[in-house]
Amino acid sequence: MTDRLADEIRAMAEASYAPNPGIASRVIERVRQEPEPSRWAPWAKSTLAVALTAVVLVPVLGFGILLRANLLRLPLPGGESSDTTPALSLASTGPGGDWVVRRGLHLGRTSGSVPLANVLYQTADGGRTWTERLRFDGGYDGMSWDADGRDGTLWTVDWTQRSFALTVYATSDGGLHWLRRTPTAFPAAFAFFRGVEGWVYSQSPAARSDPAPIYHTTDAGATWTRVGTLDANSWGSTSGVGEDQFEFANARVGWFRTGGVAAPGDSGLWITTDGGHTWTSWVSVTPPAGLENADVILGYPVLFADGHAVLPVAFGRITDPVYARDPNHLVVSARYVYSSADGGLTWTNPQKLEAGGLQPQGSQYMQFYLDQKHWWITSVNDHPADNPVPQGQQFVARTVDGGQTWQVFPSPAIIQLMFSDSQHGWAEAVAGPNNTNILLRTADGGAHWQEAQVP
Amino acid sequence: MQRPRQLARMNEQAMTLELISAARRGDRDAFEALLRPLIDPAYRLALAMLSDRTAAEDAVQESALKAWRAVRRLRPDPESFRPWLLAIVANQCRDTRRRRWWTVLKFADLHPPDDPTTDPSGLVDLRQAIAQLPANDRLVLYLFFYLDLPLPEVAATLGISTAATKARLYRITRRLRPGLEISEVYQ
Repeated sequence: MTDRLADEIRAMAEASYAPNPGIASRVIERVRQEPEPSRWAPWAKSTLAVALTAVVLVPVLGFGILLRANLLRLPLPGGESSDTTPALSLASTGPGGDWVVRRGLHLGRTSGSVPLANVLYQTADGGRTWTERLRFDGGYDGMSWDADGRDGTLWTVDWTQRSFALTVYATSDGGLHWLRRTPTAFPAAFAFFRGVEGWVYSQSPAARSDPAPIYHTTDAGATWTRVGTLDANSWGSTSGVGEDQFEFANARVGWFRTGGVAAPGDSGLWITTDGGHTWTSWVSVTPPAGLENADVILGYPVLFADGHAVLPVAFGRITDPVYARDPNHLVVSARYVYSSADGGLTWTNPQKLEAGGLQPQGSQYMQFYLDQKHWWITSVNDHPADNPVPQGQQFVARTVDGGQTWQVFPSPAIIQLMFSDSQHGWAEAVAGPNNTNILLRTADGGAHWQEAQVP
Repeated sequence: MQRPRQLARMNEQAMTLELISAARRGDRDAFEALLRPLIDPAYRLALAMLSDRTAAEDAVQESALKAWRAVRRLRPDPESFRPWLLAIVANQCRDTRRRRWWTVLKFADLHPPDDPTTDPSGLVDLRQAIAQLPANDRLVLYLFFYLDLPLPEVAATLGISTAATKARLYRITRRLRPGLEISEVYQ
């Protein structure tokens, strides 16, 4: 069956393949015109000059500071340290501190992938020093804390096995000690925890389009109860790294987002108000004036502890009926953020999501909502003009008044954002030809970012 | 005792490692020897991502230059060059797509024939399904099924772990073929 799928994909790609005689010669010739590569990357040259000056002025201490601040970055040596390309995940920021997971599968020098343990790190000083808190196996999937930051969970899904089993690690002392629960007997396509209370959307790899059982725990995964089913088999379209599709505001109200374009009977957003027992396709929002006939994609509700919530919504037009439900074919004309004061049951007051003339779009689009007022988006300036940041430049935009006014800052290639308050936040970015993950820290609301070294 | 095929592979790896070491020292001939066999897969990947022959060649050319400029930072690993170069190509294609966003929304001109029932192979359905995938998901499919890259190389190209690649590949193929068993995807 897979052979047939592979054959079809090859056939499809071949059907659109257009031979390009002579391309190899042209490419090679172009490379020949290029001067010999520098021993140092351009940015390394300038930073090295700074570093040397600093070394002269402050012989030992200055150099150490530069290294720690990552102002000096030399080409990777051929030694063991260059052998791996660690992947990072922003895990949590808030009452339990700042947490990062260094994911455990690295590319080995000669053996392809080398399975190593994931490592959970905590920092209490903005990333200057890190303390290892847990080593664990499996695919890291998420982390959550109770409001006091004492009780928490971290969970993994075994993506490498057919089981898709969920393993929960629980702590009751702020992460100093962890208890590993036995992997679940049921699969976990999506899992969500609010501290020690959790839910699982349990669609098995072989379940096809059967309704998915919903499992619930109130004791950090020690025991599970099947509470209902959800028949939303069109799920699959995610909006960005770190975004959830399955979330509960409290013990009763939860959401599941498919990501599809809204259609009669299926808005793309499912809601439960009885803790996951029953689910209904939630009705769509009232569009702003002028967009009454637009196609709609409902984003993911972001629920705050005070009962308020925001809901990003994209409006646009799908011109080809073949792709009527496909979010990738929506030509977006405007993005809005709706607000809710009742935990997401009703949505009003659409605010246009536009920063300095820029609307977030494309695969680099990422957003973070701290509360009703403080929002961040990151995207790339696709405008033909270099305003407010150069064309093609990624940016971070911040609002402190619920989207009425914005500040726009040029930024690295950020793929995940997380803020603990209006000023302090973290970002995961990619850098270099290997898409190396780097961790960034801001203390001024996203205007400036500094790399933080994870052990 | 080593089998002939294993020995041949070891020799090939040793030779590749030699070329990489030389290229890292700035040896242009060594770099060209590494680059030449990968130009076609790089172009196929770029064409699949951009659906535009000229843009695809531009992307490959720019990627080759970037690779040459950065070759000293290449890991001395015989299996590192292909995913490294294809990652540069994929990034270059993403940059190109960002600059012509509205064109990309009309991805690939994969319109079905007037009468889909005349296509008994189901290929039209698959085309539509693939066309509806996010661009990064299509990239995974092309790398794995079209370019036949092993999973660790797909992972290296994407800059994510092998496990994450596996999970992503499984989810995508399952969406395309809901009845697929996970073991069937990686066999």
